Amino acid sequence: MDVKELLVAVASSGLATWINTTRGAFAVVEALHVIATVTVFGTILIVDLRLLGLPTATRRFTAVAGETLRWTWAAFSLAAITGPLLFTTNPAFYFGNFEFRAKMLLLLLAGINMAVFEFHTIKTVALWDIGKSPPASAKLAGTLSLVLWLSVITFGRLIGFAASAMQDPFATL
Amino acid sequence: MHSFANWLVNTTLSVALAKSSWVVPAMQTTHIVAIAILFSSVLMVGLRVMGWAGRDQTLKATVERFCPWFWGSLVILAMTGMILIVTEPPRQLLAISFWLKMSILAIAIAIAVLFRRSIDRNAAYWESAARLRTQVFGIGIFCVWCLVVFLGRFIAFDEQIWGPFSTLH
Repeated sequence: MDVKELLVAVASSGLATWINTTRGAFAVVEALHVIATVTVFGTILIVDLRLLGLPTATRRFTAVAGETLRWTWAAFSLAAITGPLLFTTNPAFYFGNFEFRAKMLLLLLAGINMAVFEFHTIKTVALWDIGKSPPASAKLAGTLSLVLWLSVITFGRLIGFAASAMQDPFATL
Repeated sequence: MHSFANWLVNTTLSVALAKSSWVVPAMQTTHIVAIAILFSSVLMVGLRVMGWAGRDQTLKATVERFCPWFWGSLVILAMTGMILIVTEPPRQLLAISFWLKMSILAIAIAIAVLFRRSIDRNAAYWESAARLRTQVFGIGIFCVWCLVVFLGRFIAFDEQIWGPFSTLH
């Protein structure tokens, strides 16, 4: 099965048909995706700013990350369910769409940045957990995370404009 | 409201903004980023009220920590929201989703103001309040803000969501 056949199969699946034909289903799934996305970004922002020592480094990094990141993961799980559901409604469009591809690439880069931090940079956390400005490697991880997630959100929103421009070339004018 | 929207859409400012290809996506993206900050501030304060996060800090300290982010993002939301209204007046002002969103938003902001005043007066009450009460409050404010996000996204699908009740005709 090549990619094209796979996309056609996804588009004609029962799930895709249900979302496309049930009144309001797409809007509800998209709203859930927005709630998931804002929670992922907002909670990651808390951790990223703490990595940069902003506004202060007066609370333990491990405490801030511990209480926050579990909600990031919960919200990311919701985004990882609702995102593919949205994809099924028009797979050929999304697959060929530049903004969609850029968003997926940025998500991958954000994941790599997080993995480098979690498996490498975090090892020295005892030295800067509280009261000290985190090392350059931690600040770099926080900055990259901020920039990458902001880009993910930007390209995510742009996908919607590309989609409506495809249906109605004047929609974005 | 129809005549107001029709007047607004023909103003020089609205015409100029609508002509731009980047104003709407840029404002919407900024709007979403600000929602992320506001929503997560509400989430973290709600979790602290329920005792699910940040127990190494007092409730008052947690509220004071997130308050500037909450109000700061609300100001950005109001500004980007108003620009979006001026750019596409009928799309926003004639949608029932928009007015429902504004109504729930007013309630959500009122809860935030009253909660802040209550914390300033008697934080000890909230620290030792019955478990049921804190759970209802924490989950309640989360649901109210979720509803605001839902109704905000529904503006783009007004007729599809509300059918004959949609005011967008």
